[in-house]
Formats: sequence, C-alpha cells, structure tokens
Amino acid sequence: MEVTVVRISPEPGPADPRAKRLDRILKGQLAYQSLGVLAVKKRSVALDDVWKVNLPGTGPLRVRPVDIGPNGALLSLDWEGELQGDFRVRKGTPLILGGPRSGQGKLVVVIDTR
Amino acid sequence: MSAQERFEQTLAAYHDGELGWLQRWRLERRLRRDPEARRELGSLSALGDWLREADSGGPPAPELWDEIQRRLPDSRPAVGTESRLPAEAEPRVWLRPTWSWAAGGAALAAAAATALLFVSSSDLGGRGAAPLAGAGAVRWLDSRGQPMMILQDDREATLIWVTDDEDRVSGRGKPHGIS
Repeated sequence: MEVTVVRISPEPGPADPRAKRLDRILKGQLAYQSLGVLAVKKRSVALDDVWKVNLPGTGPLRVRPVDIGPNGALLSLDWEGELQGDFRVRKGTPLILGGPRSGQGKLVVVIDTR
Repeated sequence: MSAQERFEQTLAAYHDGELGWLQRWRLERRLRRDPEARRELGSLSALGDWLREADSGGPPAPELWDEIQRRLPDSRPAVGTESRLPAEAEPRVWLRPTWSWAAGGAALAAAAATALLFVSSSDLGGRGAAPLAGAGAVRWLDSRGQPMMILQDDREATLIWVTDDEDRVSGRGKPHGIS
C-alpha cells in the first residue's frame, strides 16, 4: 500500500513532477497554483492490521484492509477529526482524500494499493 | 512487513514523539552509529520545517486578530474585520466554481451534517466478493458533521473533499442545490 501526502496551494509554483497524474485529476476539480509532495510512505499491511500514518497539521490516518483480492483491497479508514469509512480501492485507481487546511493551502492524501 | 519498513515506521513515530523511552533509547543508539538512519530522520525533520514555514506565512488565527483589534485605537481601520473576509481579500484553494453536479455523471455527492453512504457489494475478487459492474469505491462514509463532497468516483480515481469553515465562509465549494 502506498500513501502520498500532498499540499496544494494558491501560491504560484510548480506541480511536483512525481505527482503528474494526481495534478491532472485535481486540476479538473480544484483551483490551485502549486502542488507539492510532502511524503510518500509505503507499507505491506496484512489483513486486519492497522497502519497509522501521521499527517502534518491534522489527525493521523488509520488504514485497515478488511478484504484483499487480486484487484485491490477493501479498506477501512479513519482520518481522525475528518472522516471515516470503508472504501474499495482498486489497483491503479487511487483514493484521494482532501480538505484540511495546511498553511495557505490544503492537505491531500492519496491512497493506492499495489 | 520487512525490517526496513518496521524501521521507517519506528522512525516516523520517533519523529512524531510517539515512542516510549525504551524504544526511543534504542533508536537514538542506532541513530548515533547509522548515517543512513540519520539521513532518513533528517528528511522527516526537513518536511516538518517546510510545513512550519508554510504555516507561519498564513494569516494570524482569529483569536490573535481579536487581541490585536482590542489594542488598536478606535480611529484605525478594523484590521480584524478585513482578516475575516478571506473569499474576496485573498486567493485560496477552492473547488472550481465551474464544476458541475450534473456534468459529473460518475460523481456522487453529499454535503450534510453527517453524510453516510452505503454500497452493498465488492468487485475486488477477494473473499466474499461479488462483481458489481460500475459501482464506485465508497462503501460507507461518515464525515463527522462536516460537509463533504465526492467529486469523482470512477475507474480513474475516487476524490473526496471535506470542506472547512473557511470554504463555507467563502461560498465556494458549495455544491449546487445542497446546503
């Protein structure tokens, strides 16, 4: 599993080349001037194990795979203070969660399975 | 989980001040003799510095503005009032005003005090799975009282956005027809 932490901002600047695909997806929905990758974290997480990802300026994200198949995983997520839910994340189809403020910008978390 | 992954997790916990004294002592001992570990910790610290720098560039918190305003003579402009007009006064990161509910055929949406969505099946191919062509990624979702939107939910990506007070003050990010 891979979690990418990104900050988008109205301040002019480049989009991080490591996040070209994400930039393309977000540009269609959100207005911002720059996109920076803050962290990329990778873990193998077993069924029903909890991966706690600490996030800057907001509560931690807890990820628990409750079903794993060849095409992806069903993840139970708890982003403290923001949201919780179950999401079916297919390989190559990232789950993107965003909204908490980070400086002048917003924090975005991308969850992908491999 | 590999030893390296376990170490990265421990390092992140150390950086965030979440280790007990024994784990902290062990890690600090390793940091003293392992340059690569110090480099990894440095990258975490650099990230924190970057964020602190970014945060310091923002406007003062409302409480601070209240304090400043109290100290200003009455004849001066009300700086605090201006600071509470983020929508027009300064650019922000918001939902594009142009995005349309109806246009996003695959997009689901919800914005309510607490939003809950349920989908009944899965096509992961894992245990207990049953194919459900065209279904989105969200099985259920609770935004804990905050308005949120599912801006995209298709085979390319699922994009969920939680709006905050600032979004709501600005009037942007408010989906058409949903309060």
